[in-house]
Amino acid sequence: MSNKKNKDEDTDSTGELIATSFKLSVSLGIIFLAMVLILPVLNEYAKNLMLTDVYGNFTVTYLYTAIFIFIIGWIIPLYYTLRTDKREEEYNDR
Amino acid sequence: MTDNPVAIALVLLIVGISIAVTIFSRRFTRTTADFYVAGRAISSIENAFALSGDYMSAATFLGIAGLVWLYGYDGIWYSVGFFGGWVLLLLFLASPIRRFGAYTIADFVSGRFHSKKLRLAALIGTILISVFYIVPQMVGIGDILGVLLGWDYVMAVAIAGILMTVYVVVGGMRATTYNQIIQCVILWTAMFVIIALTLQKFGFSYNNLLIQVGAYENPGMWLNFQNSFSLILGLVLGTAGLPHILIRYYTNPSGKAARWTTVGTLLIIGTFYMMAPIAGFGARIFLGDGGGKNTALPLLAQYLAGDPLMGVVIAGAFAAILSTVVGLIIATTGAVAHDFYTNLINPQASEEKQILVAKIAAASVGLFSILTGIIFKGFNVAFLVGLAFSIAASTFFPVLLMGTWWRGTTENGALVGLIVGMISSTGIIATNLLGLHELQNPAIITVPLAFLTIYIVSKLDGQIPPDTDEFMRKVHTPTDE
Repeated sequence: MSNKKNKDEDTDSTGELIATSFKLSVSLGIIFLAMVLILPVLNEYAKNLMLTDVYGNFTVTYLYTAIFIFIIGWIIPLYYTLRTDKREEEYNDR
Repeated sequence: MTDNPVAIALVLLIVGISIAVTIFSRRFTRTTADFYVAGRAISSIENAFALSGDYMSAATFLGIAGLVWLYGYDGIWYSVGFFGGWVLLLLFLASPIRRFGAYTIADFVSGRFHSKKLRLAALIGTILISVFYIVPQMVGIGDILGVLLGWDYVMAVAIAGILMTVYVVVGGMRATTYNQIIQCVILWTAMFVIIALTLQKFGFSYNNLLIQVGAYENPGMWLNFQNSFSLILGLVLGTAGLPHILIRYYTNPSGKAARWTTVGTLLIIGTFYMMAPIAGFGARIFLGDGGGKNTALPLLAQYLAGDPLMGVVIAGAFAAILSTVVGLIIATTGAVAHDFYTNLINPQASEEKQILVAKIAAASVGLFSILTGIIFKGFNVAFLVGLAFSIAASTFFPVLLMGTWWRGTTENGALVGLIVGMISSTGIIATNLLGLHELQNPAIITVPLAFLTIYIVSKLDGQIPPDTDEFMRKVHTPTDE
């Protein structure tokens, strides 16, 4: 009986871990994909905005494509990795 | 261009270092786990450098600068696409793949669905993608050593092919890893020196460089909306499905290490991809129309600091190709020796026999690479790399993603999805080459098609493997980490 209860608790916490991991991965994945795929859309449908100079000769589209997207591509993974490390440590401590 | 002692000396130095590393690594390669996954003992930092070296091929090193020289902003799509895939790889696949703890991608899908048919389909996919990737690399090495250094094309391909094969056969994944680390440092440093010298000409002002480059800073010189969207989608999702990249995750000691490996890789390749457009614009400004799709970077180096720097670039390109092809040889060897021989033909094979077969397979793949490099001499092979990414995005990525995260995925769903993705992506590219339509990159159609097929067939089939929950627990929980 006690073994069954432990097993059920273990299954619950595993299911919870998978569900939380999936939610985090999907949210961050959608954010990143949207930030990348929005670029050709804006270049096509918001040309004037994208060709506006924001810093010297850096246009919105150039700054975004050649620099900003890489910084986003560092911040999201770092946030994800730190969050996941912490959550897994909590899982192991249970 | 045929008399560049610095280039020759540096290329020979890389060859010498590779041989020394291989001899050193030989002592660590005794079991199949040593051969395929370096005993799963490569640290996150080492793996980040090795993965970066594995991933940054000639297409990255020479290709992006060349495309930016030719098409300006539109060439930067390749930087974004090549980089973006790693974020998805980290979010969805890095830890689960490592935690499964096998040797190949076919192992992973076969372990999830217990299917020999899927193992066969996955090994065919691995070989197909790797071959489409190997051919342009071999042609590239022939061009670089042949055209830029004046070596005979066939001799250049043969020497490079033999070198790569020897260090996989003798040193396995361990030698491959250490060589990829060294080669990564060489090509990153080469790019850094070039952009430092380029920016020096503009008072170290990126803005001044953009002023000089004028309209090349703006999008639209090459790709229309449909093709740029589909290209990015294909590159991003394709990266997360490339077998030679995915199998490197097995070399990490844990799922946690796999995540930090990806973060490190993103830092290394991200800085590289931020530098590449600067070199491309530098080539446009200083060389005008006298650049070249694959030669803009070495010619820019020659303009900036003469033959010595050009020699560094040639050595960097040589290192880029070497590190990528060995990764591909290991992936293909795993498919042939481990998936086909050990799992489908002779499951009772002893450890010694498995290693022997792996070494014979590696030597055969190396020979095949040399032959294809010679046969495809002068062939326009850029589309082959695109084909490799498209097939990966339309086959492995949907199957791995859904198999890892959706417990309702069934064997038939995965199998039909893999086959539909493979046929549709190769079919659309082939018909584009025949001039039947203008869609150069099929990902925009074939990726959703593959996902939808897996979902619909799995729902109709409903035969979920009985141990799916156990599999999910294994790949998603941090046991023993």
